[in-house]
Amino acid sequence: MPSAETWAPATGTTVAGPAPSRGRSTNRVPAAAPWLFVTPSLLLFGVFAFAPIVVSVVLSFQDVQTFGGGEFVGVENYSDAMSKPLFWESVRNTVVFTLGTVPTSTLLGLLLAILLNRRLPGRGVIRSLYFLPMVVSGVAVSLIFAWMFNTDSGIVNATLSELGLPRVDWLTSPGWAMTTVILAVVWGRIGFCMVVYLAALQNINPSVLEAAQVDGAGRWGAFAGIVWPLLAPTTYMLVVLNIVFSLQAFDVIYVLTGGGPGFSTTVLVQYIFRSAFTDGKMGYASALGVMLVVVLLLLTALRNRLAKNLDEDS
Amino acid sequence: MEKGQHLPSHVQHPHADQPPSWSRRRVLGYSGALAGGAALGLPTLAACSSSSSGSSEPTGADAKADLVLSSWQIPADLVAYEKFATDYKQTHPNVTIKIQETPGGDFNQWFTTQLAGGSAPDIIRITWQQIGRYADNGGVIPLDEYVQGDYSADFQDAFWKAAQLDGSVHGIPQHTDTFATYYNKAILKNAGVTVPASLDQAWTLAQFKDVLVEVKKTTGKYGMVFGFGGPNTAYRWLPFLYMMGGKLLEDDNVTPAIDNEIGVKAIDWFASLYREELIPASNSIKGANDAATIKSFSTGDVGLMIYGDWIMTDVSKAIEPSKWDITYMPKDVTAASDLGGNLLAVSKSCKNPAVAADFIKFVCDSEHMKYFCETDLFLPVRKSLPADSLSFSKQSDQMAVFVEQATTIPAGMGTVETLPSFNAIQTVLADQLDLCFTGQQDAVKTAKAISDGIKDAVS
Repeated sequence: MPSAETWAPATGTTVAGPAPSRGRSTNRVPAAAPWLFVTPSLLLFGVFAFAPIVVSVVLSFQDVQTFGGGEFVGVENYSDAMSKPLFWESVRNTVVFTLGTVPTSTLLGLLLAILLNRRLPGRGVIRSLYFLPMVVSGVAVSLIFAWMFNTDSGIVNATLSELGLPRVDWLTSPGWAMTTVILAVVWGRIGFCMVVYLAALQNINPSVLEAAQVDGAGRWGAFAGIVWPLLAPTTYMLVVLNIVFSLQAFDVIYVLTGGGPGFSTTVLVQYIFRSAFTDGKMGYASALGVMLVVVLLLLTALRNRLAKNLDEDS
Repeated sequence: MEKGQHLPSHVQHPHADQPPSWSRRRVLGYSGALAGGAALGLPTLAACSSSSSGSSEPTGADAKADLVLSSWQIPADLVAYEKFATDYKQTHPNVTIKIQETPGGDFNQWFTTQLAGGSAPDIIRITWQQIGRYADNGGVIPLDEYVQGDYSADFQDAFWKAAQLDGSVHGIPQHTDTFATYYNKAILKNAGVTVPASLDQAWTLAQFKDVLVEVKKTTGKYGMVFGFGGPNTAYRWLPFLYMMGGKLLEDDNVTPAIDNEIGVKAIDWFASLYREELIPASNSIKGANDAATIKSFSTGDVGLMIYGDWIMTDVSKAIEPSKWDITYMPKDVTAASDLGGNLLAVSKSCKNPAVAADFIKFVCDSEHMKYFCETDLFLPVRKSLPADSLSFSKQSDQMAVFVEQATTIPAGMGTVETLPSFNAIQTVLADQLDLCFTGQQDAVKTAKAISDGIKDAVS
């Protein structure tokens, strides 16, 4: 196999080698140039992402209100969280919510992508329609769901009644409220998963599938043996992204149920918001936020490790 | 929509033509009753100067300032404040006051963030239940130097004391309001129910429940809705505790007093309305909102609605005024109703506190308080303005019921609701009552959890 340099055109320019020089100053890249490109992003990241994270870590060791000074309390905010039943309930709800949303939206997104990867009349329109919820405000989606799933006047219960089925307390029963919230979130997220899977499916070389067909593989065999393994990096990425989205979920739940009935849909981010702004405990809320960031970092590291192993295997 | 707000009046209703159906003595008695309760709380402000302002900042015709006043999202109220700002400018040409809407949603989130960023509105309209927290954490500033002398003399004692923290005035009372029972005339007629003709004849809780059962049979859905409006309004349940002879805190305003037989009974009575589907499950503390509540009443899903005076205009838009009316709250061993209303306070972000305080005094003077209450259907808080002397711009018959009902606001409840710690107490109430009303916790556990939560909140 030729080296990278021999792939270069005969003009003498090489991929890895230096560019031909017509004069010392014309093609030389100034050492400061990369920094000029990177600095705006670094500044924005520093001011709007890194600095707040650092401040949150500092606040998490203080007893501090929304404004005014704080008092250093060590790890008291962290130990407080561990001893509060509501913290553990919000963790449990977050896990349930994540388990309810991640596999569902990923799987449905894959099914839709496979369906819309075929030649269908109006395929472009259908793809756009499925992606539409992704660009609609979460608050707007939530309000529509609240109207549709209203126990007394919602269209969903009206339809159930027409079919002779019993009404369901979608938003007012602790048992059903989480299901309704998950439905709303999955509906909004399927389009995103579909688009990502669609891009991955279109990257699969058709000749590989044709070769499989020639070798006698059926549709399921080709999918299980070729398509699914080739989609694995995409699936990993989507699963991790969906987990991150679910751990950060707030707007839909805030509007749809406010965390209720009782605490049945209070997830971790909602608990952080409540601690900060309802209870006015910024230090405690920061400690919860830091714990969430640590979990998210671990998940991201896990995802990177899996992706790296996959690359090495392939 | 927060308590104490409503939409504009369009119909002039000459109150003078209406014989008052309440007693002035009673209205003033309300002031006295609340004053008695408030006396358990905070010491009076020392009167020590005849000067209207101890500040060196000019507040007269040569005053200069650009101020922002933030009020709830009620068009009529905003119009009234715009008028006051214009009137004030005539005598203070270099003072501009911009009126803005307090955004909907979580008030605490919005206001604390604005305060933290130093960009809070100069003047904030704030409820009795909210001001304690901000007086305590410095979000609103003391106004003592601007209200010296006998300024406070004309304010009803209970309200003036409720505006103080440790004897320091942190807001000037502008108005109050309360709850009564809205009813659909046709539904009650079909149910064979007669409404009480006077406060003395108000339904007992047992009678009220019987009425709800009959009304439910008529509507085929539910009996009533209640004016909850999110977690910040859990305190609106408290009148039921007090009308049964219970109380939230002991007289020291620290020790919980709800974990007992009366407390459990009051919680369970209200929870039974949900269990027996006399109230829609969606009308819970955390799940309710004004639009849905009014819709349930206007569409005939329910025949009764317990709510405040400030939503009468909204109700009139949703259902023809001739089809509904107002009667009294139910009662038990005593009558009780909700404490509503607002103060005007100066935020810590204000750069011209003397001018801001001067404008607040202008808005809360007798003339403008009267105009505000008559136009926007509120109850005044000045001794020189007994509610029965006002000519409300519309629904004066209904306002008469609210005025009479206001005499039943329990003094002890008013004192508790204006404590600095009440914001934290209310969070406990909202959480635990919502668990109970949604069937996730029984009344005994709820009373104990509220009691334990209050201990944590006030410690």
